[in-house]
Amino acid sequence: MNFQRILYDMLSYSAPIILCVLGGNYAHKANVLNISLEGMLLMGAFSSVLFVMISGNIFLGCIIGILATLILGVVFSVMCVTKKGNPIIAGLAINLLASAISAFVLKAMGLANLNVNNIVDVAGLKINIPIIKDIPFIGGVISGHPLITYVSFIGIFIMWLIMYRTKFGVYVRVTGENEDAATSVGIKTNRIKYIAIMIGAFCCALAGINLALEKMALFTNNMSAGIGFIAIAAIFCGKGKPVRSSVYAIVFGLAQSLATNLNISAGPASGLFNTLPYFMIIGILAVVSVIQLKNNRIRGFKNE
Amino acid sequence: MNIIETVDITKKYGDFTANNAINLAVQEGEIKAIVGENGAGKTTLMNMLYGLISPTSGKILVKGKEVCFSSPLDAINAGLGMVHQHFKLVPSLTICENILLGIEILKSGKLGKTPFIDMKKEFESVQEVVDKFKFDLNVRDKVENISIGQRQRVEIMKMLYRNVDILILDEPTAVLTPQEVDDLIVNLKELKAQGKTIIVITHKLGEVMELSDSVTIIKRGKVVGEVKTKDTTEKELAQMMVGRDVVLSVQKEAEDNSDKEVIYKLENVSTKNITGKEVLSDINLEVHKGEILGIAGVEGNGQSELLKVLTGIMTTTKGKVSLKDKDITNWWPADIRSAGVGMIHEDRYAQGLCREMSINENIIAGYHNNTDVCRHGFLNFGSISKKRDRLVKDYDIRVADPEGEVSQMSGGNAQKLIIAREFDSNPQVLIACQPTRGVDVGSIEFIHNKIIELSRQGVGILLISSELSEIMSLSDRIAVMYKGKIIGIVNAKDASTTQIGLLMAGITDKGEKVS
Amino acid sequence: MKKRNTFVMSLFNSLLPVLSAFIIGAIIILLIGENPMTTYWIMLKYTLFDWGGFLKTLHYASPLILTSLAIAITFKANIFNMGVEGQMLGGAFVSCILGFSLNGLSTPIHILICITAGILTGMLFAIVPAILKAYFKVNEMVVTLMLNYAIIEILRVLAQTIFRDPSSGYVSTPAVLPSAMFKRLGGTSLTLFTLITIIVFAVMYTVMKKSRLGYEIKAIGRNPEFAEASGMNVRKKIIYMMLISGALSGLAGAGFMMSEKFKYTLDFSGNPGLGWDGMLISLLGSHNPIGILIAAILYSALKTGSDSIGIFANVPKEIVFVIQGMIILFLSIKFLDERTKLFANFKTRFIPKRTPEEAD
Repeated sequence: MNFQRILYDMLSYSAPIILCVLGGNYAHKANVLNISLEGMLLMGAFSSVLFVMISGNIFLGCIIGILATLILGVVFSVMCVTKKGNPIIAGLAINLLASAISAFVLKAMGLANLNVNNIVDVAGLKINIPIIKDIPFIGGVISGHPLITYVSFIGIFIMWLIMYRTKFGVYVRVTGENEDAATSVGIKTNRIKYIAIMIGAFCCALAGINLALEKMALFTNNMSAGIGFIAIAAIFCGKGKPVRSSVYAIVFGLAQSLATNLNISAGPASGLFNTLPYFMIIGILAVVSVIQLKNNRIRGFKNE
Repeated sequence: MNIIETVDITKKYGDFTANNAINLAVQEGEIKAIVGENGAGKTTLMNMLYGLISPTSGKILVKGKEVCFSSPLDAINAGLGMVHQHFKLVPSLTICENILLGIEILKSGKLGKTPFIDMKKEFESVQEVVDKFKFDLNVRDKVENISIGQRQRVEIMKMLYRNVDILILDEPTAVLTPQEVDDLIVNLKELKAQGKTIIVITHKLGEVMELSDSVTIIKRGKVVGEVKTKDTTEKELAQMMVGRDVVLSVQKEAEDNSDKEVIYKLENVSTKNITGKEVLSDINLEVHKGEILGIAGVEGNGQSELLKVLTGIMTTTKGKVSLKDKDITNWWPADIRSAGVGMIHEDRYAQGLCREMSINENIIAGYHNNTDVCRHGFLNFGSISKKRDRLVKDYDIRVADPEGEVSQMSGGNAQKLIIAREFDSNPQVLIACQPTRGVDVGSIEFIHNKIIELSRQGVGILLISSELSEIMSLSDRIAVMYKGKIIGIVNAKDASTTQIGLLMAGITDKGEKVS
Repeated sequence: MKKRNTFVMSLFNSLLPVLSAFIIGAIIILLIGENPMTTYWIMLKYTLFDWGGFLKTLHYASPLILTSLAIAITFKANIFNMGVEGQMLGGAFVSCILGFSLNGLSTPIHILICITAGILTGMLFAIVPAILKAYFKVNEMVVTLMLNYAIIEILRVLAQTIFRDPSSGYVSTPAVLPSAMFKRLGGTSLTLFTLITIIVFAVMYTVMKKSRLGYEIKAIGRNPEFAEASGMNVRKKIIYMMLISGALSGLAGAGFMMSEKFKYTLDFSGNPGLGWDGMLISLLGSHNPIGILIAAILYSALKTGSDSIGIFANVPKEIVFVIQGMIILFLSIKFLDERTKLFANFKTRFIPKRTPEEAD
């Protein structure tokens, strides 16, 4: 059991989850149920690799990739906020569309996957931090990750700042907790919800770039593999708080790391670790509800 | 000088007039109370003053100038602040953040304002204003951790911070404990001393007497009285508030049923709401066979909870409910119904009927397991339609389309549908809550006659209503609820409107004020 | 009069998204240089206008009808069982295991055992979210959604380890024994499974329209407070509904396994998955049995047609998935409801929240 490898992978797998979580927190706090993180992540991965392939330039590819994901975010916002549609169905649609569009384009191009290893040097993207990389054990864990992985961890602090120390963060939380209170003081809640969803799209795009471009310079169909949903689980468990949900994201990243690394010793059964996030969120939701209903003497369900 | 004046202000919703040519004048620096029963139109009036809704016709003048508010922000800018009955606070934020919502103080950097909030400056600024008005709040506390009384002070502070001259408070003491009410009265008087004008909407006459300088009484959308507080008494206000100008043609001789058997009994029934506050305390009631026991009281004193408990929608913390000799405490609604209790719920469209379903489907609700309509789990639509036709005839229910939905019926006819359904099931006990609310006069008479008829057949009836005249014309005995307790039970024969009105306001026969 | 009005509205609300999606699909096809009309025609020709193709469409429609019924029954009550996919896969998997492990049984008995097992598995996976919702008011959408992925993952592990077919090149369980397979009828693609589906459909139709349970489900969906006050024991009904939903999903999975796939693979359910297809169909059919029947057949035509596109046209069959996604997207909003000007002459029927006599 290579502990160093496990921890290194934990950080590596956590990064895209954390990014999706950080972005998705805003929609959650603004009381918009956004389950399209998976689709946005996939679109980010797909479009960034695609446009790197087309343009031959990493930066250009990434930027257009982010833009494409933002468009998806706009579509979701229009459907759910402006048109007040059902967010579950719309979110589901976005996920399906991202998968379908990427599969369609691949097929139309006659390719099985998008490989840009000739343009992007994956090993070269890894940042070896001077001094830190030489620390025994920890060096091998912390150093040697691509840029966005580090961005994701720094992002935890940045997102916390925005959520709790800026006007915008306050407005997001108010919109989610008591929309009435927000509108009564003149806050434009629709606009806040739009921005919250777009931040989510942006972060998911970054996560997609990290997942596909930085780590493998490759895109295959449905490579998002449920990371978006794991992020949703982390958001719910952490109640939309940046630090708390990121902790859950790291736990789930550890689970994934164990799943891959214990494969050799425990066999494919180690894949069961991947179910951890899902059972955790169910457990936590149950516990929270039990506590909330402690003093409830009213039977029956109210019209929602 | 009149700081606020309304000239013939009217608000109509389709055919319904909520406010009818109201002329209101509030003097600068006074505390004015606006009283009236629930549904009189007080909140509509205030919502217009505050810019939440716009009047159908009429003018509003603030400080002598005509104004037209399109949103609460306009009102605030003109110096009017409203403290709502249902607080618009965000629990996870601090008091300071709530007060400064929308007008946050940002840190300034070298290049101008940063997006970051200057927490320190915010705390200082708000604490300063809080202390100025002697409100005793620690602005760093989170709203979710403070008491309801404190939350209300935060709502008031929200307005005071924005330098309003006029404060409107909508039913401010509805959710406060007696001690908190006293604190609030002290605070409001202090505000008045500092030059603010205060308008209080309430139906609590005791507080009106203690707090206000003048009172305006509103009934059914019109102003029916305008007095100076020092020239009037609670008795007088009560009379102006609850008296009706429509004389009910149904009168029943109140009977003495105490010799008949007790078929429905409540012993020490108590319950709490979700915040842990006791909303029913030791309710003891007995209904005799063929008796109509009326439960009077201003809405909000526990009647809704009592109804919910008796119909199985809410559970008790202690106490016993018995039907004859059966203990039916905390039974589920279906079982209570089959035991022989008919129910007319408070809100016909929330609990009594389903608007989007057909008349057929509604007429069997609650009794859809009965063998006449349901065999082996399948509904017999033929017999349901027959039943519907029979009931429509017997109860004179006007329906435009028998196959249509309940939403197409008027309120009165919808209520008659519920009555038909419940009466037809031959209950032993009937619990009726606000049975004629929002119903046209003709239907009211019909419904009242039916209730009397039912009692003559030996059914025990528990009638809960906030319409005192209804209680007085139908009941044999009257129990008055106040703050979750039964404050007194009188024989309808001997009781007077005044006496009951006082009980409804919390004053017992001995003249004591119940806390 | 109102009933007809609502029916027309529902029809529009279902047709408009589909048309819009097909139009956008046509634009995409044009962009890659192909002719959308011929593409769409190929799709329809081999699925609806050709006898063999039509039967194949019916065959594939069978599990779809079941999964959409599973969705419809809960959606009618405003409960969102997003776990149909997982419940279906569970049913399929368990029926497959029993299909290849139980030896020496006669076909009818073997099939019966497998189907029953599939149904029970589906119910089992539905019971946890059911109890959480009924007794603890936990949001069933999130729970069922998450449970989906957990189940998919667990089944994947099982298929890769304990139940793996070592002779197969890709991840797969062994195939079920011939005694557990539905026989094709008369050289067509149809099996008895379709007949079973039709029977189940008829039963569900009767239940939803004519039974006491159907009445209660309708009430709970329209006004849960009223339902509780009318003594409908909402908690118990929620559990019943979820269990029925799980059973239908499990049946869909088991039936599909034994009539078409015969072994469990990682792409057993296709793209996006029979459960999600069911959701689409239920939405298209406005959660009504007849609407679902029609939508299921048309949708099945769409899906089987995608194979024809792959063969007979130059358009990647994935275009169908794109169209599917867009249909769902447009279905998330109601194009027409009581407030649209198109129905201005029915404005007088618009229901105000309170009737005129009521006080404010």
